[in-house]
Amino acid sequence: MKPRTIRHYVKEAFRSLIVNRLMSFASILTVASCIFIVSLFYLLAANIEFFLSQLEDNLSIMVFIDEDLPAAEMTPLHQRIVSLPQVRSTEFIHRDDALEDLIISMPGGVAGFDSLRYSNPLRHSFIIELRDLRYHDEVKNALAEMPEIANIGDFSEAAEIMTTVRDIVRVTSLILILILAMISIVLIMNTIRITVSTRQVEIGIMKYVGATDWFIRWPFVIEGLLIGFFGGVIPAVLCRFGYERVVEAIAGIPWLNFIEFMPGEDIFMYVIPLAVGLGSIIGLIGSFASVRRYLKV
Amino acid sequence: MIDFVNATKVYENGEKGLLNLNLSIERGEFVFVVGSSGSGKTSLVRLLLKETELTSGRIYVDEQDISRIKRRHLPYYRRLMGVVFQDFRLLKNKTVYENVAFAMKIVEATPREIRRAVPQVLNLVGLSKKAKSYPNQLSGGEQQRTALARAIVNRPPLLVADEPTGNLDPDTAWEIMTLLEDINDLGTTIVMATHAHDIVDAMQKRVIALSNGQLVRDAEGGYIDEA
Repeated sequence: MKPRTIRHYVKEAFRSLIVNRLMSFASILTVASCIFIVSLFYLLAANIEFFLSQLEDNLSIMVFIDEDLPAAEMTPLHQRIVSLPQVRSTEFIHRDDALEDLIISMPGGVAGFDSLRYSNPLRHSFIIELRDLRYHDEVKNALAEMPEIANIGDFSEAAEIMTTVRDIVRVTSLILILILAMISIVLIMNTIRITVSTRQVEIGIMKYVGATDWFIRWPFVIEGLLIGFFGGVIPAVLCRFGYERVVEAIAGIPWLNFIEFMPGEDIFMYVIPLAVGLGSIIGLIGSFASVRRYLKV
Repeated sequence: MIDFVNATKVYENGEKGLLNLNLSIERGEFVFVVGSSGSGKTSLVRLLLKETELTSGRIYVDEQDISRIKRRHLPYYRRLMGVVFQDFRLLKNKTVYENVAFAMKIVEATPREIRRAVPQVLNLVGLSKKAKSYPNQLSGGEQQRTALARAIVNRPPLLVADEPTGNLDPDTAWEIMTLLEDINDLGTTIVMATHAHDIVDAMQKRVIALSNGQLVRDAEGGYIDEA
């Protein structure tokens, strides 16, 4: 393809966007509305996921070590726990530190508990963080087989609830996003099809004059891509600036300020390419498919 | 240049377009195709443009059997001919100059070639001063002259005109006919389907008369009503 031909295609696409500005505007608005809804839903789902993962981080397995275990065997035990593939990290808590924390946390403070310092009843322990909550039972079983461990602090029920809630959120949001995306695709393709059908006569004339299918198709495809691109940029920009405002507003509500939101830059690293990319691809495919039916002249 | 050999076109609804048509058109000829509505004129034009396919028989254009042309090669075949329609079929969002230049862009002419050829052809059809006008700013005659300019700008050996004067007043129709005659004088073969008795009678060119899809007359001279 010669550069001047490419220039012609791009020029024609922009020209057509401007000449048919009302239809172009309607198409861009349709694309933007659909992608805005998909983006909003994505933001919501991502934040629920983020909130749950924050909660998850506070759930860890605590194991108490047999008090008869010689100090020399503590390190091999630690290594065996760390080497479990489901374990993300461990933290060793010395029984003396545990006691200090306990005493400090008591309502009466140090008084009355001082004597415990001479005969510490607590055991050494490990706080074990899991890679995923769903591994809770597997890790618990593996730990139960280690004779050096005297007791396992269990949170099976909480883990199960959290895992279920998270799975429901994940599956529901995935299904809803897919449905919304499908609806958007159909809506956008129809809009672009209307745009193209209004120029059916024009396409027919081009065919009679001897234009190849691709010569006719390229400007439409580029036009569709531009409609999709602009239709993607608008919700991306709206979401980017709106998100910060909403986060600030919710942070200002006392009974809601416990909610932690995903940082804007983290979430928009995905949302912006998703919105713009989705718009562009839908625009491209929509225009390609729409022109096709009018080329058979 | 053009040969119809036992060319038959029957449409899906049973309507007969052409029946066993045999005729030859030589390079450089000016041929009128006449006949009443439903006589097969439009079928002949549509078949030549390869807008529809023959039911049986063959059509040769420039010695190639057009039924063998694949869909992807159709644009290149159509570039062999310029086409003019009764309803002009101009791109309404393009100026006169751009409409004509568009036909050259399709064949990937260089900008220099376009800059040179378009003003020349607009001058030939008398539209130099209207180059920047849009179709809706032109009279019917001017629109048809623009269509003619577009049809000949790539210097095709064949010009197919389907009722090109059908929407024009008599004076303007004659202007178009004069232009077509000039174009024919330059060596372009012209096949023109028409109803216009007066024009056919006055031009004294070869007349192919069709009736019910069949050839009923092929001779030099005027229009025959019985056709």
